[in-house]
Amino acid sequence: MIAVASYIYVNISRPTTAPLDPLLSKLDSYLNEKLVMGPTLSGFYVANNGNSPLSIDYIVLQNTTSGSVTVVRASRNQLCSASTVELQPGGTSIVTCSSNDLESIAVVTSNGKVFTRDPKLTAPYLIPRTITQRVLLSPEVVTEIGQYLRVVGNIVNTSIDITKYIDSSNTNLVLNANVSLLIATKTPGNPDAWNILVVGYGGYGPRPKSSLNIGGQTINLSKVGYYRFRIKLENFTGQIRVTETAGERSLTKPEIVPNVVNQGKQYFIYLSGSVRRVSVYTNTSKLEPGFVDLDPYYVFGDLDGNGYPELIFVTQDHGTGNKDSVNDRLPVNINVVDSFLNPVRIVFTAEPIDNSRYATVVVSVRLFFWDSSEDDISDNDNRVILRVGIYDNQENKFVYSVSMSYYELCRYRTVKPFTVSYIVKDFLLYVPSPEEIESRDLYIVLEVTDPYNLQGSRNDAEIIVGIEYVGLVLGVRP
Amino acid sequence: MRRGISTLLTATIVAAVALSVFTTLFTISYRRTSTSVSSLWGLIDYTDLHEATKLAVIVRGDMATLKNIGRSPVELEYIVFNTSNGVEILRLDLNDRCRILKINEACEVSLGRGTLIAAITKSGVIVFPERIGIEVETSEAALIIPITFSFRNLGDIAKEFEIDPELIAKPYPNQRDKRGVNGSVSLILPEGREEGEYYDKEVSTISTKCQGGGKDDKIPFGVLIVGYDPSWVMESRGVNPGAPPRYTILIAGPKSKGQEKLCIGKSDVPLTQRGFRVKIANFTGTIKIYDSEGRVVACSSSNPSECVGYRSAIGTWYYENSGWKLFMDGVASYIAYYQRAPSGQGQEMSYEPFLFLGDLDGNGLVDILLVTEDAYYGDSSKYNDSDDKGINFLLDYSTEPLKLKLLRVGYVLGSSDGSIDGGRYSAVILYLNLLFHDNSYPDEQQLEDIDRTDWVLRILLVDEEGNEYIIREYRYQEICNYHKTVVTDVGRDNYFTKLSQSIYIPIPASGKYWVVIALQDPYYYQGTKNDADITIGIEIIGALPLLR
Repeated sequence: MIAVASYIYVNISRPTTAPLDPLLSKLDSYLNEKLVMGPTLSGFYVANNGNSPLSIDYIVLQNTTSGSVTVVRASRNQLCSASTVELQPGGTSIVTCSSNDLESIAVVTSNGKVFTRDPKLTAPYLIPRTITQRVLLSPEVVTEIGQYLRVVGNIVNTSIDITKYIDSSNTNLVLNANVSLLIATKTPGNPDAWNILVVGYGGYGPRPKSSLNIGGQTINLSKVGYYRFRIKLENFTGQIRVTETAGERSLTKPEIVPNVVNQGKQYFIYLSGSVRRVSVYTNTSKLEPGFVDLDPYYVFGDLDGNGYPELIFVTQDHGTGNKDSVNDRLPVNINVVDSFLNPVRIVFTAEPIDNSRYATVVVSVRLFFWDSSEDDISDNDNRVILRVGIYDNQENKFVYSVSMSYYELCRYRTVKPFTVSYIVKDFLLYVPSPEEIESRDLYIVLEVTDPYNLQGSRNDAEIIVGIEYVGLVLGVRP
Repeated sequence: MRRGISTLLTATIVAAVALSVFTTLFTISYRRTSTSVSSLWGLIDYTDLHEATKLAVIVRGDMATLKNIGRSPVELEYIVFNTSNGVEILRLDLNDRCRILKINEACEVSLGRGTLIAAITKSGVIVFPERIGIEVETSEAALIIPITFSFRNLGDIAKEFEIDPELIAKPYPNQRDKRGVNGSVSLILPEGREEGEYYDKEVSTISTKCQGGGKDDKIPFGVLIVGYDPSWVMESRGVNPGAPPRYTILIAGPKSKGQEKLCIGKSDVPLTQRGFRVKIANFTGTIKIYDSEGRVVACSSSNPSECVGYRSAIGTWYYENSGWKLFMDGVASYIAYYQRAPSGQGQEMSYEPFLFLGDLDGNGLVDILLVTEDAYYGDSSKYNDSDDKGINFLLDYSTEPLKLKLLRVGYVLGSSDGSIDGGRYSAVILYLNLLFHDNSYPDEQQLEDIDRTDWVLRILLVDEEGNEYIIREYRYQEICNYHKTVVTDVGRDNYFTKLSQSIYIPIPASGKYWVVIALQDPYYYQGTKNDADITIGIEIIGALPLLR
């Protein structure tokens, strides 16, 4: 500024000797010259955003440690190198310096115009030093999981039928039942309420009669759920009491209570309170295989108290087995093996990924896995259980995916006593470029399946998979 | 980043053009009416005001923060938006929070109308925000440098990853300078057994259906790997989306027990000697895999109507005793027929016959595989890669690792030698998508068969002096968890699934460093143990540099 003022002042103070036209044309090109400077990962850029070609003559460097300032020729010096010094309009030069201590604070063009780097403009650039990870499986998404699940029809294949008996909303409920498995989680967003899945069969058990009272109507669960029942409660408030060999206790914290797995026998539970939604699935007398929808095979809620709800898929009913026996069966030698016809697909449509902007993504998943095969890989083939990928919603297909199969997953759990360890996996996913598949929004997809539907006495694992956290880091297209 | 700058540039170039037009008009109008000094003072005042008024714009989603970073307070009167309906000008209300901004004061405007191109002050200065877009892009996304193996041949891979040429040179007979792999009987590429040098044109027919040969038109194999040819992957995902598929194929096996032949051009090649390998690139034709009952298990063809109703043959197929047989018929641009001949005894091989380059799952990324498996599996009482008679011709092992230098990381970070500057970067997080397989069977007893804990995959950091620092090793005992040796239920059961691994690489505080991936088959044999032959594959690597 001072330069331009004094330049003009010196020239106009001699109006008689200096003709005005050359002065104005000089001023014109001087004013037209415009540069911006900013940092890049490896140095800084100088971009000509004016409308006339210009050339950088000098770079002003400051040593950030000593504070000393050096002016070097842009075209040739020992400290820094510029990819070019002649800049057409729109052109950019990348300057890299030999030492990290050197910061470029200004450049001088051949017209003598000085462009400085405003430190205040640089400050916001520091933001990318931390990496943004978006939460894909947020409590809100889990609560509205129905919007994201892509499940068509009766996806669960059961070796013994199970059908919907009751689906009620906003009612009082009392359950007295012999059960095999109880999964009790906390309702997302409501720490006083529970989301619960109860699995059992009515024909046997420690107490003579299982009953369920919904809104004043009593159901004889021992009869109605003689061969099997699954009860799913959403937003339940009230008492939960469990009677095991050791005696009766109240449930205060979320828990998976897998007594048939651990003790080999059913236990008794008592639930009393009100519930926003309850669905009951039963089999009274039909021994044939069947198909049913996903509803009684998943439950969501916080299981470990960290505020992130787990989305839990459960084909496990009762006991365990090995390669010579069927894993899940009733004491009367009736198989209760469930599997999914197709993977349950969760499409995270709330976060579109623009393939012209991003080249890779990293999806981090925190999960646990359990299955009912005592002898692991001897009992089951190496089938895919979990798949994470990038999905093209227009073509309805994966454009990239990686997966986790049984041989790996079975190493993260103990069958008996029931033990799971949470694992966190990072999945690198490739985003095909617009040149490969046209420019479009793609979506992260997570698939979970129980692919084991019994072959002889093998390939009959029943699973409990909990997906807790799904995070997304976007990688720019460099 | 580049897009950020280009968005910025577009905005500011528009701005600069506007400014220059404005200035020119201003200047010219003054020239016409008056050439007196006082008018020029007006120009100087305006220029001064213009230079003094500075506005930073930080865009976050739909909101933009305007901050006065100039050296005097500013009163904004208009904000100019570029919207889908063209340019729209918003006049700021007198009590709008953005109307008067003191030095360093900031306010927020909604960008619902489009992108913000300029603000006009009450005194008529047009202010062009200089950093539109940059923050948005960099703060919501990280730089994860993708490293792929999408190259047409090993030579190009070698250039990209600075592989020692002797480690991937073709093992012609009587050459003693190859290094990398050895075995009981070496694979050599005899004279006259190589067709084509160029990957572009088809040079030879190749078929299991030989004219006037044996009645069987199929051949047994020990290992078969079928992938989409890299040249086709690049063509079909670029200039020519409809191009019929072309394949790349690796066949390995023992000496054939029958009369089966492979017909290459006009010559019949019997599958004799002590074992063979065939590498075929850019194959146009049909590939069918039959089971021992003669049923088609899988089929892939450049003419897809030939394979309707069948599972794709793309992927890996292992073991002679599965009873599977291969039918193929077509043309290829490169064919190399390696054999384990007695003359190959003692001659060290390179990695070349053991490397496969092709897209193994049709997702558009070329996988690189190191395959030392040839034909058989085994347990602790038997050589793994040998027949029931215990002949160990097919056992191979590495004499030195194959190293791939990830120069791309440094290139993207701006260094011409591909290095990572320790002064600038404190770490790199490496993501690798891998596959692994071996021939120790049964899987439940593989740790008894292979009880030496040797590494097969290593991540190294290398400094300027060539010193290597081991960052992460994948030893057999870890990686063997990720595979199943024998698969019969094709389609549902899996030899392996592609797994994603993440590795943290700390970078020392000064000097230049390179990340190197090393692969090896560390097992020859000790009695009938520690004799695994292996498959290791890499599909894509992502490198996330962390600033110091």
